Amino acid sequence: MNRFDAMLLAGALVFSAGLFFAQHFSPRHEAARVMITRDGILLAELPLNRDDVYTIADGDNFVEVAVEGGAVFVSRASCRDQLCVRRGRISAAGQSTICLPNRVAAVVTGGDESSFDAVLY
Amino acid sequence: MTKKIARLSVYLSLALALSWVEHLLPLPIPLPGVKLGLTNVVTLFLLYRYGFRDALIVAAMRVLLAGMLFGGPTSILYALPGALLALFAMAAVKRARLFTPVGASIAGGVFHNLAQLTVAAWVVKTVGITYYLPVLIASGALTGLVVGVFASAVYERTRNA
Repeated sequence: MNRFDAMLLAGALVFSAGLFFAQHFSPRHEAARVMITRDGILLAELPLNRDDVYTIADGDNFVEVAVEGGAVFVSRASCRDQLCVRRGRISAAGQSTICLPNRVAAVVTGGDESSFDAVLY
Repeated sequence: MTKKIARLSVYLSLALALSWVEHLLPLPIPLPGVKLGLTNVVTLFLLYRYGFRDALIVAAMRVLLAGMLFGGPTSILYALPGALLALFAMAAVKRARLFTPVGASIAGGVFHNLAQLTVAAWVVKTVGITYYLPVLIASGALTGLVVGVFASAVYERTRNA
């Protein structure tokens, strides 16, 4: 092995490392959004990069959906089990928070996809 | 001519045996597509000792026979472009005269994996698969290094035989 071989090897490794970091730190081209629906009807589509609060209210029933810090979560809700509130923050495409008693769903689309759960060959 | 056929056949058998051994004993690394490529020791050796044509003949035949014997037709689909592109890359590096066989093997390993990833992307019709590029380039370079050291050792010791 001579110095040119070493350079070639180093070059390949540096290149692949560079690719790796470029992939992981590049901004996604599609902005993530959350689609809020009630009874399956789309009520609002909010971008995740802007803090906002959207409230669905119907008499005494309400669900308060908050966007903050690039993630969305249910801050308050009138349901008894509060599962939607306990869901916490979601931000990856495909993730969703549902309030079943109020028939409200908040689904994230676009932006980062969560990594694969399984790959089958 | 007979002598050449006999000689290449022996190398072909050797390459096949190495290919089969690798098929039996996969690397402990669970990443798909990462293999040692031990059989390329023969390809590289032939390239330096007898030239491009002989290396090409043995490499191509080895891929086809390995596919028929134990790899399956899909192995040929991936292995053939890999072996061919790798051989071209190694021949180019050899031509450049700056490098030793180790360097050629490093290039061979990288290009072998590049070709395979391209075939895979074409098969699954997904360009996003290229996120796997860093792993394949790095492993290709490293396994190429190991293979190159082996081939170099054999080549040096049989130079005057």
